[in-house]
Amino acid sequence: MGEHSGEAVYLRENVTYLYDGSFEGMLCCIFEAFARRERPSAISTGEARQISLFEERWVESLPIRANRVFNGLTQKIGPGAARLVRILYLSEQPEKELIALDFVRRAFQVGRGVTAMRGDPAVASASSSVERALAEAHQYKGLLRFSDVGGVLVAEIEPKNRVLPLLAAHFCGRYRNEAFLIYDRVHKEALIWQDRTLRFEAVDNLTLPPVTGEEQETRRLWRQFYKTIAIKARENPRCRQTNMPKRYWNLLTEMQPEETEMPGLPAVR
Amino acid sequence: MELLDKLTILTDAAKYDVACTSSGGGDRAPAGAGMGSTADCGICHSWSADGRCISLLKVLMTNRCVFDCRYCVNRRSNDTPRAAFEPEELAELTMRFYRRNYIEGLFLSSGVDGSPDYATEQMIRALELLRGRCQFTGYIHAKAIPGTDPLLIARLGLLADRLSVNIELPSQQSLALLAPGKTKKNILGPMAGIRDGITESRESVIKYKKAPRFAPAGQSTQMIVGATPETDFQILRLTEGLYQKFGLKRVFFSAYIPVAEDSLLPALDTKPPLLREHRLYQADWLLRFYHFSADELLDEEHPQFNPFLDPKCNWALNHPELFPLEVNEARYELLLRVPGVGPRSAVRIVRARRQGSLDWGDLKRIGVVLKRAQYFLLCRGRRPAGLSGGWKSAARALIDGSPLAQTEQLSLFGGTVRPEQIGAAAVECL
Ligand code: SF4
Repeated sequence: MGEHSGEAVYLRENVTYLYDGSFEGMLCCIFEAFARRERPSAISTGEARQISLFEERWVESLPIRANRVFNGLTQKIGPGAARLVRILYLSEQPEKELIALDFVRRAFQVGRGVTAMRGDPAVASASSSVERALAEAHQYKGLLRFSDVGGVLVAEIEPKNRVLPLLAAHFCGRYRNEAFLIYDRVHKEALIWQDRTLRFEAVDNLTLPPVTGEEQETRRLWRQFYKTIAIKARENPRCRQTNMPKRYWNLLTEMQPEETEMPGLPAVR
Repeated sequence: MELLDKLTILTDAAKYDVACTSSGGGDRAPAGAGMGSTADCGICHSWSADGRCISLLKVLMTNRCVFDCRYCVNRRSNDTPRAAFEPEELAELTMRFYRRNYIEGLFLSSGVDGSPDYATEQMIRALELLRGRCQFTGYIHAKAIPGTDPLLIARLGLLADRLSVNIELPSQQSLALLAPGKTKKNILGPMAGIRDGITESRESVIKYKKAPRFAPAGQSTQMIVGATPETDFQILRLTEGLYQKFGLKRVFFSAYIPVAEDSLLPALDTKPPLLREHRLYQADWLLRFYHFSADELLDEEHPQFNPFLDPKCNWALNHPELFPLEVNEARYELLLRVPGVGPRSAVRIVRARRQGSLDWGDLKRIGVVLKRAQYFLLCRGRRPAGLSGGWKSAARALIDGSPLAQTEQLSLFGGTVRPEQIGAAAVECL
């Protein structure tokens, strides 16, 4: 660690942490590392656990400790730093917990200016993971497709990062008077907006009734628009794919062949 | 006629119009009734097979037109199927698409069906339904048709987030030749009117929040490139003038795609000048975000863009006296002029160096493209370790290797080309 952050104090490294995978849990690991002067060789959840030669320690999620870390960050470093750690938690970045720990340690050394230090190794790796998560959320603001299922709007996504919390404000504002659900197939979570109230729920899988004729017709109109708007003389599949990577296609209405029957939603890959 | 057929005809007729951004409305998510919001940064909802972003439902109200602009698919003399949306029909279709998050809003234009006033009234009717009955609070871009009564344009501007008047062609002579129904005056007239409407409305919104907002996302225009003989320099100067005089948000360029056999126009098998269009957009970007002026990028002696280098690299290589710059001291405006440094990394540099001086590793992590920037920068007085070669290696490192540029470069060399040839040609072009 000394080398990473320029900190002179000796930090014990031959230990690994295990935690419950929650945001509070991650903050508690950071608390633990500060309290015990450690920079564990790994911080993992039960599932992602690797074989370790070092001492393994279970770190309990305690709201009091989590709050101390989060409020400390907010007050001493600034809301920007706290937000960064929050989004880092949502990111798919491997070892995000260690990246968060290194960032927080750097933050408490430097103080308020830390988020501006985009060239610093600890700040750069935290920021770039966060930027990737935000970029994916931004893509989904455009590429997510709702279907009308009995008056409720339903969308499914397969994001790398846990983008649902990052999408909430945008979609709840836009469709404020609708009831809608966005299901994240990868992380098995759903964002639900109903009666102007937002909630998140763990959902194992989603089965939907077949769609109505109006839904089908709208999809057909959209596909037709999509096909017609392209200019033949400018065809450029490579450019399309750079902007709209293939991994999004299986959930995009316009990239599906015409439906013969009526599946609830485009099929899983 | 079936809705599907109408949609096909009226999309096909609108697709050459290029403006399709939805940005600049300010982040707006009204809390009350209705549906829709606008995002400041613009959102793309899809990309079509030609690689262009789809943000808005881009259609014409009708493709019936009494004019006969020779470059246009909708010209009166063209034998093509015609259709028109009913205002209700279009409003409902927009809502159906918007509700499913297919689109960010509507981009509505129209052929001149009967008279400019009548065509505009139809558009207004559709937009009134959207804003009124459908309570739509998302993005709307509407086209103002030259020759329309200013009072109608004023109504249109209160319904739309953005208005645009097409300048169509880059010079008055070309306009006279190819668009007999249009004149510089009847295009610039509405443009000035819209500018004044926007200014007035901004001022009254400052005074009372509830004042009606006239085209809050501003005004844009577009012109066709490659149908007429104007040089890149003429086009860029015109663009700059439009930004300065009319406070436009954007100027769009559209590479001409032959739609008619006509002795006044390029032959039907002419490929659209895509690299040229691309260079114009790069230069336009430099005008808007990099503090460049048109005559820094081109001049009477060099009136066309370099096929080997993008305009910024071309400029930098022509100014060896300014480089290298010390990263830890150079002003923001100068950092912006370094190849490999964009607005985002320039801002990051300025913020980060307040916390301590930067070295080459910091620059890399900040996102500077060192492969390009290394020839133009010093960090704490030093060149990067191992950098050898002078200005010529710099020129070689900056050659535009995008597929678009490569195609054109190939054609200059008659089909086969070695990298050294391109390097030499690029240096020669400076
Ligand atoms: S007025 Fe517009 S739609 Fe009509 S021919 Fe001219 S450019 Fe085309």
